[in-house]
Amino acid sequence: MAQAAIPQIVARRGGWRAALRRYAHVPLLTPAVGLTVAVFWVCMAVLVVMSVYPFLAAGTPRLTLAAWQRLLGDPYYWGVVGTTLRLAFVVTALALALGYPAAYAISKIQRPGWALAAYVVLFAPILVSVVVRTYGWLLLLSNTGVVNYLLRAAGLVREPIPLIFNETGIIIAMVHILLPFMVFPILSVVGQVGGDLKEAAMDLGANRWVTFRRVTLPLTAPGVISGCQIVFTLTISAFVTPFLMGGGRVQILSGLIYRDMEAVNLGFASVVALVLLALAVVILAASNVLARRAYRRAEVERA
Amino acid sequence: MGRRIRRREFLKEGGKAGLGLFALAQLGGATLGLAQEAAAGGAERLTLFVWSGLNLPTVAHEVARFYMQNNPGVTIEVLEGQNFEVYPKMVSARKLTPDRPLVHFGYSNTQFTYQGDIDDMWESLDLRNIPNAANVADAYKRPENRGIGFSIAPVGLIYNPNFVREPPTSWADMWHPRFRGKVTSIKYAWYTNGLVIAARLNGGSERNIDPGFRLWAERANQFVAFANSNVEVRDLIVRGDAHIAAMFGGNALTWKEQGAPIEFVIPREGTIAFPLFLVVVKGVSAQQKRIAEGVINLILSERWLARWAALTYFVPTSTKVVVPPSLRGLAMYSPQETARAIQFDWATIARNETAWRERWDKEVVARMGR
Amino acid sequence: MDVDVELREVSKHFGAIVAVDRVSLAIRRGEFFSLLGPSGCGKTTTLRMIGGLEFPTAGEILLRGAVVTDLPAYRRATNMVFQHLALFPHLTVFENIAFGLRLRREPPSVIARKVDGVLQLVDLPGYGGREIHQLSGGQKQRVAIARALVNEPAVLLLDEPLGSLDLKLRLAMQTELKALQHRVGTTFIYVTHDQGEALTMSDRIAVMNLGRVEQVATSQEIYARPRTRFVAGFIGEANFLDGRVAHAGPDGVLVAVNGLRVRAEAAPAPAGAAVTVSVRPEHVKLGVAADGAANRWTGRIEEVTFMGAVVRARVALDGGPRLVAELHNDAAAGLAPGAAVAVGWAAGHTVVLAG
Repeated sequence: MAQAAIPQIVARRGGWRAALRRYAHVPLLTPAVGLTVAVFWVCMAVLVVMSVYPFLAAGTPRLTLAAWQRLLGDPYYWGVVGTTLRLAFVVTALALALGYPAAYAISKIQRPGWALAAYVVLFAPILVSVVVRTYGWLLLLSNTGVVNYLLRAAGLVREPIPLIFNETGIIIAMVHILLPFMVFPILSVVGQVGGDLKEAAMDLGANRWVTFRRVTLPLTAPGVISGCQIVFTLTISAFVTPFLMGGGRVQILSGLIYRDMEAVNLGFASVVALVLLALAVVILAASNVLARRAYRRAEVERA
Repeated sequence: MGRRIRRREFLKEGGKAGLGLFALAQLGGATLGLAQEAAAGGAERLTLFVWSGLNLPTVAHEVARFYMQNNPGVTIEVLEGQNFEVYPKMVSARKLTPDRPLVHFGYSNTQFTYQGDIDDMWESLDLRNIPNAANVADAYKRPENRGIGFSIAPVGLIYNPNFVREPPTSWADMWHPRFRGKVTSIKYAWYTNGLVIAARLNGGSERNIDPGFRLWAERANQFVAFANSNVEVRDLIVRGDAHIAAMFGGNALTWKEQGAPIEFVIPREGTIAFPLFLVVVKGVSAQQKRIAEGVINLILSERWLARWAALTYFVPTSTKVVVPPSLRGLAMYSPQETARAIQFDWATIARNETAWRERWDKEVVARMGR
Repeated sequence: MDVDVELREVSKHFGAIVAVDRVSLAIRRGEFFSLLGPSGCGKTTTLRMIGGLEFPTAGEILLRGAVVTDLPAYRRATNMVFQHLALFPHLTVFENIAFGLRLRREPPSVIARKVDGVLQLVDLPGYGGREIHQLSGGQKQRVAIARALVNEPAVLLLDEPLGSLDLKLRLAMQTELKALQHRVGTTFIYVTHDQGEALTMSDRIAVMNLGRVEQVATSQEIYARPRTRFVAGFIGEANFLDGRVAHAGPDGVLVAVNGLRVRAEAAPAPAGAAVTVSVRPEHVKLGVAADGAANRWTGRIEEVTFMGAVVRARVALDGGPRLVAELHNDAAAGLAPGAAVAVGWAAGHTVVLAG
């Protein structure tokens, strides 16, 4: 065993030197890494510490898992986790359903003026403050709002449809704000799928739909995945818009953080923040793995 | 191997390091440098905290300027913000640099004044340095003089006259069927969301809050939506999404003055007294404490309390204050109203803050829409 | 002989621009046919119209006798090898080649057999599992050809497919393509701006300029008997001398050029017509090699350029005009700038062009 280990050590040393050379560019990363470490990891460390040491002005804090138990041991909070995830998935799916065609259409626009107009329409909600935006939505969507007025005037409904102060309102608003975050990554890849690839597919017997499904869609998958990841992440961590549009009635994780921050119950708020982070990381990692595996499976199936 | 830290040690060290990190993160960059050590020769620099919004900070700025003019060598910086944002930073600063508080003294709302009692954040005031404290009604003096109540924000009911023909008359109207789906409040504000008053009117109290939760669990759908701030409550009422809410009289009258369709009524049970305090933060030097007490004495003077009342419509606690003529006709300024105002057990509320928030979510909010 | 592709008065306008102007062609079955011309001459547009990627503004296109003018690409029995290959980067070599077969719902066993077969044909056996980005330029080229060929098209369209390769590889691929075409017997229509490529591979060439076909002929004929000045200049090199037909008879033609009388075997114009005389540099002989030539004058060497196997000399004729001669380097001994020298060429090497 000892003899067998020798070459391994040698190999490892070689590897170590090679690694040194390989990572010679690391200093270039220092500012970015430094910032990330300072802002992100220090905060993470703070959250972890706060989640197990109660926040006391006086006395020595003792390690306790009470805040973790309070969250993880309570079906109510699992329900909140479920609502949070459900909202994020629905918003992501709708943003994709609306954003992909939009990105595709924008990429087809020839005249620069029209393209600019499309960008403005799409990105306008980001440029407006959340207060103005919310005011607009409430005017449109409340029981006495424009949408319900039109629905009733058209005789489609008799009673107003509740479009705000519930999950529907949150979904409408979040899709509206986050649509550009879906469109932009897709737009950047849709434009790169060369016309010659589509022509090649058509030349080989594919009509427009088959060309889209077999060529354009798989080649834009990276944009779709990153768009979905951005929208998903922004949705599960959003607080202000869900609170305003949900009327404080829809319980989501970010609302719990705010609730307990206000009550100076920082331990529990930290636990929720960490759970939220863990959910985001797990979902993002899973989406990466799934995307890769689906891609590979498609290959195997066809081969 | 020898350098490997044992688990227990690691946890201990980690705990210390973590607390340091924690305090650092809490302090934040924006507020650094606000509370600096005194310069040489008796010069002092103090930070005075005051609530932002409406006309609330005006008196603080005026008093600070006035004090500095009469006391060269003293600098008073005014920090505007919300209690819930600044308070955790104050606590962290106290742990990290016990002799250098982030905020030396200032305005504190009811919730955080009582939270500070729990966290042992407030100095006992020496009333000999605050002669104007003699005029403050005893109800607004605090145990061991850990701060002093300088004003009351009376809470009554507001409604939108465009939608409500028959004004509400009682706190019980909050849960009356005629306002089903038309009530709003800041989400966990116990003095406006009806929890405590419902408990009190149904055989309970702050110490026996269950009747309040039981009532609101049944009537969860009284609420159309919750808000995060007074302004959001105002907007809900103005738009007509909500028709009534509990609100500070001062805010209500300011908005009405600005033309909002809002009326303020005092329920027949009386207003809820929401006392506002001035506190000195533990960790100040003896000299700093004397300066803070001097400034507090100015704030409690008839001149500045009258100014405060005129600017904010909040009722001074001093018996000596001559209310400006414009306020004299207002019912909530009458001594009778102030005398019969409902006094909450704020200490109990502060102790239950976290538990009640959780119960409110689980027992009331979760039942909405069903 | 069967005609595979026929174009009848086909035009294509892009707005005000006339890309293809009343082109008529008949391409025979099994032929290696090239569309040759400078960039912008309309050759690629013509090819794309045959493939169904563009549609003519006027005229008709027939594929094996059937009118396909307005049929989209996916309903035509043509396949194209694109200029930039357009291989699908998300698919393996196998899947790229199988793309068309799968769309035709061929059974997997057939697909596997055909793909393996075509990979053998393009000399890439066992490459099916590779990713496109793992291939060299030449290998990508073969995959692109295999992807088109595997569908057994009536006509294979190739749009400058060798343009991105370096010279050596290009020459090798030219030979290979030609051999491949022989083996499969499919009609190839090949677009190129490289006259050498066209001459090497083609059975027939259509030389295009400004949207029109200038000449359709075999390589040899195009080279030896260019019909227009454009063709003569574009295919290989030529000395051009402007003149007028002085005499035309059964015994031959005389063209007057600045007092010189140039003999030719035939002319497209009657006596008195303004013409251009063209003679290839390699046909211009110098010194003793010019002895006995039907056209023979004296001149002075102005410049000698050594180019490896050949030497190129610029000569000013005593009558005035300048000519370029290209000689084998062993025939160039003693040539030096300033030296007087005899210049001549055979009457059969004079090409008289109208206008």
